[in-house]
Amino acid sequence: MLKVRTVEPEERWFEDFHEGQEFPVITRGPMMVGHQVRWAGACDNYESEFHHDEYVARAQGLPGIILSGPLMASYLLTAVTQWLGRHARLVRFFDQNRGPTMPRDMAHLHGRVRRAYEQDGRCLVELECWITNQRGEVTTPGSALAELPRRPGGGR
Amino acid sequence: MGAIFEDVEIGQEIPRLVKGPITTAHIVRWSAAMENWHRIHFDWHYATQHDGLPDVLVNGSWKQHVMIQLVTDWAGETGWAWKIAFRFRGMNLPGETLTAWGRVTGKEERGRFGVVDLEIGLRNEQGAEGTPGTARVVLPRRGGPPVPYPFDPAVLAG
Amino acid sequence: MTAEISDAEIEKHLASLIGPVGEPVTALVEFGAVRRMALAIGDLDPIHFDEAAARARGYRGIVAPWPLLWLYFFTCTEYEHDFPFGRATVHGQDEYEFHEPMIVGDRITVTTAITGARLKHGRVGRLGQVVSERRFVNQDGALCAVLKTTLFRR
Repeated sequence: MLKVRTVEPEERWFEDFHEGQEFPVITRGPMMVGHQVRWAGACDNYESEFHHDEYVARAQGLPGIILSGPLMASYLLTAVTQWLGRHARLVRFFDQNRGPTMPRDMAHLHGRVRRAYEQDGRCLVELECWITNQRGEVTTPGSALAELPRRPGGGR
Repeated sequence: MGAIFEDVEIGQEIPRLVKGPITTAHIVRWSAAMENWHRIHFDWHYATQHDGLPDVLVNGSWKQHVMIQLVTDWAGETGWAWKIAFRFRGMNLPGETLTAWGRVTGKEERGRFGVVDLEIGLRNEQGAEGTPGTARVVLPRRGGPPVPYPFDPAVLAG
Repeated sequence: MTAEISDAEIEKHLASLIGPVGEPVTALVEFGAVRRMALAIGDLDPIHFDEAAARARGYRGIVAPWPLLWLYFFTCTEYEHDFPFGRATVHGQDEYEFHEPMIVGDRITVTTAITGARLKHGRVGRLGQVVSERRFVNQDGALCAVLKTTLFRR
């Protein structure tokens, strides 16, 4: 197989995060049917035909193809792992499928630190994250909790 | 078991293989399995408005594999589908039911085996031939050994 | 037809859903599947593609991106439910809990249960809410992840 051009996440430590910190917005899109088809292939799941068939989607009363909720959530989860860097270990993730994402929609991935705290000797970062489309509508609100190591040797 | 050389007659049709109706799920699944992301197979807007097609298209490579299945099913465990060739003459769309068919056009004894030539194709319900082709199959003789696997054309010499 | 069924009957049906769903199913974490998922979600971290890179980061081998849970969700578990009421089922929300990473070559056993099912009355009428929980455990018995999926029926 062709070698994939990989990108190592940044090196970040617990001390790099503080309450209220906003992460740089990551923009994906325009989302296309191809993204959905790749997702369906990765999940080996083609059951819900409105995800890939324009006629079926319209026959079911939808305005057109709707991209899968877990696909959008997976983009958001991936953004979280990028923001938190290579040493972070995700502990929890939550998302809601609030509004549809359709082909040609943009997906802007947002994140903000809710809390950075220590508990039982663990260093934890809790954040809220969400996806907005090109109209500014929140399609996928979510949250995450991750554990991070302290910067070796201390200090900044 | 598969076909036996002595039973094959020129002009004879081999058992057909029917697939369909083809849905977009079949097409999308094939695209994903092949990791072929050409948009004419799944992006209806692109297919119809950019490429001016009547709908998304059934994948040509899928159609080839239906015809390979037609021939390997007939060759069976004891024969060998040796060569197969196709031309893409017509497109096929979701909703169509496709029938793969084959007809014997020639046969020849070759050593302890027999070689059979087939004309093959893939028709929709309207009878439109979208993927005409040819195939060459090696079959065992009656009472003879199965075609060895892996197949080596040298066995046809002796 | 669906208008005929009473709230009590719906609640009885929903209550009957609670409990294990099917048998545990085991799947192999395949490199091709990991690569395909990582590319599908645009996660280009080398730990999903390159064994040396993954080991350098302290992992046992190539690491599956967490969304690969969805492959096992769809291929190893029953995820559709019959409802005796309503017209449409919506995949509402998901809650993930992560533990031991899933590594290429691992054998992951998935166990499914319905853990919650109730009927609510919203502004637009009846709303059924069914929570299913899938637990993903590796060949050493280590819990890798728990995925809680909420379906809404209206």
